[in-house]
Formats: sequence, C-alpha cells, structure tokens
Amino acid sequence: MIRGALLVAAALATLPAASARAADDPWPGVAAAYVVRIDDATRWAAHASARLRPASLTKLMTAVLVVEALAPGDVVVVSRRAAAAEGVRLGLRAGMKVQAEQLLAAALLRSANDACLALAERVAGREAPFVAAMNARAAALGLADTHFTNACGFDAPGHHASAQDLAVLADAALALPRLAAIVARESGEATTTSGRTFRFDNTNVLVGRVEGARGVKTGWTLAAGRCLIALAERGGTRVMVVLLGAPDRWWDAVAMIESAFDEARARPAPRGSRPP
Amino acid sequence: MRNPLSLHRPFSRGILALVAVHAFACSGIAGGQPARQLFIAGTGPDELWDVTMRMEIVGMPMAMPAQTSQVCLKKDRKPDDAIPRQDDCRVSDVKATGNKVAYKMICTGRNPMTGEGEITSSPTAYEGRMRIRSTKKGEEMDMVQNFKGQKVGVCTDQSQRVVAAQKAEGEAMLARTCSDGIEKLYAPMFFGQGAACATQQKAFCDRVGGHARDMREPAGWRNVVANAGAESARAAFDACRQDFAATTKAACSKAAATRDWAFVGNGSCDEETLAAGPVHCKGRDYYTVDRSVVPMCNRYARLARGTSTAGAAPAQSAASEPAKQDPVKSGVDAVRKLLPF
Repeated sequence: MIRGALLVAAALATLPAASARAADDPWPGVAAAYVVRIDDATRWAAHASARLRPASLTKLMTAVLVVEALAPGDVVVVSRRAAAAEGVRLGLRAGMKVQAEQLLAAALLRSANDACLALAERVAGREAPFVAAMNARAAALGLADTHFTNACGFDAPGHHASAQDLAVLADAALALPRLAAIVARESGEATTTSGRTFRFDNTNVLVGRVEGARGVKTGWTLAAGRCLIALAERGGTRVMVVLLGAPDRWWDAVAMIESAFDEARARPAPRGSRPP
Repeated sequence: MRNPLSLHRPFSRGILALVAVHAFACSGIAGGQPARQLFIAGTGPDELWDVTMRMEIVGMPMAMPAQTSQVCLKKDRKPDDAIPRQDDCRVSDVKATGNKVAYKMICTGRNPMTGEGEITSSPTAYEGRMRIRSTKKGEEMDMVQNFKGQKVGVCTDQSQRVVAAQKAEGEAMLARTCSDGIEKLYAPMFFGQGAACATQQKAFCDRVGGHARDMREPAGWRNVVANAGAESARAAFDACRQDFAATTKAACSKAAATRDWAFVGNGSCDEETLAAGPVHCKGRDYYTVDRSVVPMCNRYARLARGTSTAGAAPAQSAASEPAKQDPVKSGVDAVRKLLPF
C-alpha cells in the first residue's frame, strides 16, 4: 500500500515530463526540466525556467558558501541537530569533530545531510541565517527562479530552483578549485579527530564511467524525483547536463553527454577557439 | 549561402596543411622542382639577391614573420618567369604593362585554389603580391603572399656556396618533415596540388599498406589512431586507395568477438554496439553495468537514446585523442627559416 502510494507520488512528481513532449523537445519524456550546455551555450533545454524541487542539488550553494567561509582544515563540531538530520546520512554523532573539507566531501559526494547541516551551522551558527545567505547569493548570481528554505535540499514550500539557475550555480561552484576537485572524485573519507573514519563513494556514478566526467551533484526526493547535474570535459569541450525529475537519469545523462560531444565535434570551430 | 565569417575562421589542421603546402610550393626546394621557384634560380655567374616573403592569412590573429634569405637568380630571366608555375595550375590573363606583370591562376586537383597576382620588376628589384583563395573540407582560406627582392651583387663562388648550403639544409629539413609526415600519416604533404613530399608517395603508401594490415586487429587500430589520429589515418587510407571502413570493420568484429568493449564503444563500431547493447546494457541499471562494458554501453545509450538533432555520430572518437603537435606546422616553421621566399 505504502509502496503503491510512493509510486503514484513519484509518477506525479514527473508529470511535467509529459508536458515537455513538445515538437521542439529533442529529449521528450527524459525529465521534468533539463538543460544541456556545450561550453557556455545552451544546446538543448526544456522547461529550463520552471521552478521545481532541486533536492540535494541545493548542496552546491551550501558548498559555495562553506568554501568561502571555512579553510579546509577548520574543524567542525557536529551539533545534536545536525547529527539527527534525516535522509541520507554519514552517521555522525553529536560532538564529533571533523575537518571542514572532509565534511564538504561527504555532503557533495555522499550527499550526507548530517555533514551538510553541520557545515551550515559552523558557518552561520544556525541554519536560518545560513539559508538567508544562500538566498542572498542566489540573488547576486541572478538566479531569479531559485529560493531556498533549507541548506540541504529537503522538500518544502518555497524551496525551488530552475534547471537554468542550477546550471549557473554549478558554474559558480566549479569556479572554486576546492569544490571542482572534490566533486570529480570517485570516493572520499572523513575522519573524526578521535580517529573514526567514514568512507563513502560518489553518488554520481558517471565519474569514472564516462570519459571526462568531472562530477557535479546528484539529488533525489519524493517530490523532486531523480536529479542530476553532470559535467564532462573532452579535448577542451565542456558539456553540462542538468536534469530535474529524470526517472532514468543515468542512461539519459549519458545519452545527452555523448550526443553533445558528437554535436560539438560536428560543428565548425568558433573563431578564436583554436590556436593558429 | 556562405557564412560571412567563414573567411575569418582560425585555422584548422587542414588549413595549416594547405598553407604549408603552398609555402613549400613557393620555396623552390619542394621535391627538387625548380619550376616552382619564383624566378628561375641561377647557375654559374648569376646575380645575388636579397629576397623576402611575407604571408598574410585573413583571420589569422597574429602576423606571420617575414622570411628573408639570399638566392642566386638567373641573370637573363624574363618578367614571366616570376609567375609561379605548378602542376595542375593554369595561368591565364597574363598582362604585361611596362615592368608590371599581372596574372590569374586556377589550380585543380586535390587542393584547388584560385589566385591573382602582380609583380613589378626592374633589373635590380622586384616586388609583388599574390592573393590565393581556396576551400578545403568546407573551410575557406584567403591568404596574400607578399614578396620582394633586391639585387645585392653578383653570385660569387662564396655566395653560391652559402646559397647551396642553405638549400641543402632546407632539403634536409624537408626530408625530416616528410619523414614525420609518413610517421603521422599526414596525406596532404604527399598528395595534391604542390604537395611538398610528392616524391615520397610510394613510401607513404607503403607505410599505409602496412598499417592497413595491422589495423585489422584492435590493438593495431588503436596504435595507429593513437599515433596519427583517426582523421589523418582515414585521409591517408583514402589517398593510398586503401579501404579504411573495411579495415575498421574487421577490427570491430574482432573486438566484439573478444569482448573488447572499450574498443567496440570507441565510436567506430556502431554496428557491433547496436548488436551488443541490447544484451549487455538495455534494461539494466546504469551503475550495475560492469565497468569493462561501460564504454560500449555509453555509446549504445548515445545511439539508442540520442536525439536525432544531435550531430551525426562520427566514425571515430576524435575527441578522445590527445592533442598532438601538428607535424606539418612544426616542420614548416623550421623550414621557413631557411627558405628564400
């Protein structure tokens, strides 16, 4: 019964995908919204400005603020509230002390909500002011269809983003070398100051499987469906795929990435793109 | 309709080859064919000239440096001698007015081009320019060759030795460049209008023939493509009348039979990918697919799900090849320093 209800809810969550089956949509039914960019140009998109649940893609904004506020070696003390975070968790306990960079890896690769919340609290004292800072940064980045109500991506009224905005956010995150390095890793680990080690794999399974894959972030909630921001670079060409509400995100992301690289190879070189 | 910007594109490898070919064609040392030299090279007690050539290529962001050298030129040359003559090129509309000669040129063959030039000469100096337009694989090139010369004396035994040494050095450099061209399977250096290494076509095709045998195996195919690039390999096969598609097909069949999925998924084996994909990829969760099979499944996803609006699937994984130094460009750059024009 519960399983059936979940399936219905999941199906409802992907309803916008059906409306994306417009004649000019080259990827009908793939996602509720998507953007595929080749270098800085959007090549394919559908419902790119629709305000949808971003799930854990939210953590990219959290990570941006954390990197700007904390040094890699800064120690974060896990609060009781952070330790009790719901959803995907690393298994942190209240009082544990972990370096910020390792928690960042846990938040981005494992999508651990306890690590995410601990970082937000470390930066701003509490989650609420941190979320205010997230929204301020979203405004500064021109993310008109984005608003956050929590730091880690839980579904909530008023917590939304568009595929287009998330592509811009990913650019901002990847411009930070610390973040770019973390999200490209296949796995990571976090060790408390008392010596306990948590090991985790990147939930982005494209890393290590798709040539040139560089990360970036996965997400899933019941309302959001399966979400993904993926980046791949080959021979100087950079392809970014943003999928929101994508039932078969991995296969479809691979098809989009490979198609985009085919497209990039076939197109004439823009002026100035190659050395003489 | 032609893209108005197309004349201003930066230069692809193909265009560079064309530039290289033309530079060689005007050098007077290409394959020991003196007819390609601007003016007729002298022998015996001839004149010693300082000559300068500067190439301007439309759209090239940086100016190419002028090349200056000394040459011995035949004393009793005629104004028409200044017109560069090449195989497959027809000179027309030659108009001599006073000390000025204007002409047009149409070249056919592998590297078709059109040109128009004019040369003003006197017994002690000449100056001219030639504008050349060509199209190769849809890329248009527009370049202007400016040249001038100044008589500086007579060609003494000593100056002849200097010139001869320069020429010998240039020839040696050209030989090395041609050798690199064989190694890298760079067909434009060996075939077509003004090909600098035309005399070594047999050696080039002998090498290609050897590769044609090796490349029927996945390992051989990989090695050649890693060394030369798929695009160059394909062009080399075409130039030497070898069947690149059949060779690749043989390698793909063996790769599929031996479950070399990385090879099958390289973008050159789509028939094999479409056959294997439903067995090894379709219906599976992506992250459960064995990593050894993933390259093929990635390609299968592209073929099975990829949008038809995406660019046509190329027959080689060119983007996965590491950037290589262009053998022609590096060779020509070195040779240019030694050239009289």
